[in-house]
Parts: sequence; C-alpha cells; structure tokens
Amino acid sequence: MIAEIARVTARQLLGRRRTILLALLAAIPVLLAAIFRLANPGSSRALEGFTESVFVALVVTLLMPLVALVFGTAAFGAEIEDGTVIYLLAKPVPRWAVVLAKWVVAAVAAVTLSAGATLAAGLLSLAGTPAGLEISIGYTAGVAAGAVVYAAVFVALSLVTGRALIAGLVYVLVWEGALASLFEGIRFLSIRQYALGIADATGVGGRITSDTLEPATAVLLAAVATVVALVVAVRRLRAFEIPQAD
Amino acid sequence: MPAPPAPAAGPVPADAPLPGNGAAAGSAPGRVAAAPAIELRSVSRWYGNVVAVNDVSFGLGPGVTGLLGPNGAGKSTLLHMMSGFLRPSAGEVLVAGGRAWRRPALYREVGLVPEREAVYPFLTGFEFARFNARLQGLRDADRAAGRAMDMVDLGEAQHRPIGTYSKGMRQRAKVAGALVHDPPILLLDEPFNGMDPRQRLAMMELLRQMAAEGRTVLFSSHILEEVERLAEQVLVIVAGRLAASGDFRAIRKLMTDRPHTFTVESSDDRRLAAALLGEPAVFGVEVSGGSLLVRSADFSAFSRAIAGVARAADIRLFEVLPTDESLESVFSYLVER
Repeated sequence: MIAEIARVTARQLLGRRRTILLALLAAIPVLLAAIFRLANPGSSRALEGFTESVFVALVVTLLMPLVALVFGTAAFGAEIEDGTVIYLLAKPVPRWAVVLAKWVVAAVAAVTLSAGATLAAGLLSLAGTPAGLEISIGYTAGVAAGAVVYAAVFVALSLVTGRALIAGLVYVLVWEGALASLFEGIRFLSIRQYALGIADATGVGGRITSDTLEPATAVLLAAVATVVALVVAVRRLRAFEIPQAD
Repeated sequence: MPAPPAPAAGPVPADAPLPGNGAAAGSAPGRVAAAPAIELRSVSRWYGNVVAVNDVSFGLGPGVTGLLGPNGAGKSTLLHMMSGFLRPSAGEVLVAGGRAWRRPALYREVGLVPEREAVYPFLTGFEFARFNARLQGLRDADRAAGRAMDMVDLGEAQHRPIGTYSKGMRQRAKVAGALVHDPPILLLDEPFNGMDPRQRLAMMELLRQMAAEGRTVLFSSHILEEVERLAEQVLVIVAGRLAASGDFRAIRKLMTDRPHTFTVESSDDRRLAAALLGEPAVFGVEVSGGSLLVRSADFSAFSRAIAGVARAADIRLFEVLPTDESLESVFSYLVER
C-alpha cells in the first residue's frame, strides 16, 4: 500500500521539467568545484577553503532547502491543486501511511539531488587533499540529514497552507537567512543549522562557523523537527477538506 | 444505527427520508426495513457567512437517486460531506452505518466519482484502476482493474495514458476507479459531464444495473433530462435547501404543472387577450408595451390552443415565447411551494 502510493507519487513528482531544472541547479556546485580544482591543482588549503565555502554558501544555504522545498511541497500540493488527491484519500488507507509514503519519496528525491551534488563536488574538488574525505563525507551527511528534515517540514507545510511554496521560501530566506544571523537563538529553530551541526559530527567542527550547534544537539533537534512535522501532517490529512468550487 | 426511513408516496416534504428503491422501499407495515445506506440529519454547512447547505435531512436506500439542482446549489457540498471530505457545520452525516467525517474505513463501502476532471495523466487507465484496487487492499488487483475497465467500456484503451483520453473517457476511467472494489454505495458528482450520447446511455445502463443488484447509487446533475432518464428517486436542492424529494415522476409533474408565462405578439393583442381568457388553460392576461403577457397553468394545453384561438379570431400571431423556462426558475418555483 505504502509502496503503491510512493510509486505513483514518484512518477508525479519526478516530472521531466521539474527534475531537469533541479538537476541543473544541483550541477552548479559540482561545476564550480571542478573548475576550481582545474584552476588550482596543487593548493590543498585553497581547495578545501573554496569547497567548504561553496558547501556552506551554496549547497546548505540554497540548494538543499530549495530542492527539498520543491519536492516537499509538491508531494501533496500538486495533487491538492488539481484535485487528484481525492483518489488517494477516498481509500481505506491510514493517513499516516499516506504521509509516510509522500515524505519518503520527497526526502529520497531531495537527498539524491542535494547530497549527491555535495558528494560529487567534494570528491571532484578535494580528492587527495588532507581533509578532503572528511569534509566531503561530513557535508554530505549534513546535507542529507537536512534534506530529510526539510522534506518533512515542507510536506507538512503543504497541508497547512495553500501557499506552501511562498511560506517555505520565507522560512528559508527570511527566517534562516536574515533573522538567524541577527538572533543567535534562532539557530535552534533552523534546519540549516541542524545540517551544519551534523556535518560537524565527522570532525569538520570548527571549520564551518564558530557557533555551529553541537552535533548531538543538532541530531536531536533534527529528529524532533521531523517527528513534529510528520505528526502535524498526519493530523492535517485526517481532517482534510476539499476546497469548495460549488 | 439510524432509524429506518418511512416509505414515501409521491412528492414528500423536503426534509422527509426517502425510501430506497430496492430492499428499503418495500418496507410494508409490520416488516422491519433496512437502515438507510446514507442518512443526513439536519445537516448544514457554511463557509464564514455563506450558507452552502441549510438544514438538510433525508435517508437513502438501494436504487438510483438523482441529486438535482442548478449549478452552485450545494450538490457538491452535500456529496463531499457524504463522502467524508467535508465536515458538516451542524447535523450528522451517516454513511454505511457510521459517520462519514474522519472515517477512512468508510471507503471500503463507498465508491466516489468526483466532479473535477483531473486524473493522473501519466497513468494508463488500467494502472489507475489497479492503483485504486491496490489501495482498497484487493488481492487480485490486476483482475479487478481489468474487470472495471471492461465494465466502463474502456477495455481497448486501458493501456493508453489517461492524458491521451477524451473528456468522456476520463469520466469513465474515474467511474472504473470508483467501482473497482464493488462498493455497495456509489456517489457520483456530475458523472455524465463530457460523455457523448452513446457513452451516456451505456453509463446509465451500468448504473441502473448496479442499482438493480442492490447498491445505493446517488448521482448529482444540473440537467433535468439526465435525472429523468435514470433516477427513480430524486432530491431537488436549491440554494442549499432540499426543495423536494421523493418519486421522480411526481416531482416532474409538479415541475410541469407550475404556472408558465408567455409573451405573445400579434396583429391585435387586445382582442387576442379577450379570446384567450375563454381558454381553460389560461388564468391571466396582461396587455403592456406592445405585447401580450399570458399566464397559463398548463404548458402543453396552452401551446396547443393558442394557434386555434388566434385563427378563430382572425388574428395573426408574430411571436409566442415562454418567458422563463430556465431550470433555475423551475427550481425556484419548487422552493416557493
């Protein structure tokens, strides 16, 4: 049952245009890393510094949340918008199973693109440098974990509001982007910070920013955020009402 | 469990329960009738200050029932409440022995054909029916899907993506998805939209057959003729209220026998007015602004009589027009009664 929902969701979500656009976005850090490697073949320190700044400024700040935002909000959003969600919900299927299937598909798609791009960029740029593997694996793990949490939050958001894409962008750009740099406490409510904290768990610690969350705290907060988001999504879906046209 | 509905004869008060056309309809005195498959008890639904459905009560048993009303009358709101996709603001909606709202188990008993046209365009018709069958937990989903596609006469096109289907084919694919698990209750929102006359007849025959097998079939329509051809029982909904319910023929008679108004243009309106007053079908005339307004209680009798009356009085008729034959005016008349 979950597999069937996941199969149809994947076919719906991975429409050609959407996937190509996001794949092009994901290719940017890989290309940047490759170009910088070609331009600076011998400087390990410069390569590590540049790649990390690409990871932090581009992948963690933009690619990971945007990819998860598109997949997460579209997992339900597209079906709610065109009305096909009724074929899914007019079935004796527990609502948690529907949410789980949607989240898994959105998370797998987001992880594949964002963490895949991170790993590819890291390996291309940092192969052979002293901390290359450590940095690549650390950021890949952080980005993968972040994409999973973002996917859960954005799936829930699409069941809370009809303008989930805009609300998600406000969260990513305003809350995490602007406000988090002004108010330190916000990092406890920032998925981006959870991702960076988890990246630190592999020993990248101290390299990213001085106020990164402790890895254990980041893992705990990421788990709590995911569970809370999924519970909210299930509750919303149980009380789902068809928007009226009549 | 809700109380069994009382049998009704002819047009019944709008808030009375409807009998079923099968088992429940035969509830003779002394025999316990089956509980209605669908029962609404004083159900209302509003959106802010707008009342979409206002204090509606009825019960339905096996057979085909038409939910008739103009666009925007509240038909879809009612169907969505019956299918568990809208919470009633007041009252109770009971389907298959339990509340419809927040009860996914309901869908084992109910097949739903929504009004919205969209169906997953990337799935083939067969895959769509199989998707429905699998989510219903059917053991042999492939077989059930094939059977459903044959039932709606899409067997040949079943392996084509739904995105390539015509509107009528999409409608039939939706119906196949709804009946793949052989539900005892079928709810269909404007199911004949987009179908050509041949497909419409075939779908009507299928629904009739499903009702004859003891299922409760409720379909909505804003087209009187569709309801007339298929439904034995009818619920007329106007502006969110149940205007009439019961046997279709009785309600149809009410609709036909309502007062009609015609505007007539002739070579001598005043003389024609005087002559028409002698006709039993005419109960009022009014001469105004170069034309004659005639009120009749019998559409057919007046239509037959007017030419003869004009000829006998040697008056030439230029134009005879019924002034308001819209479905909305028919419904309004029923509400006002």
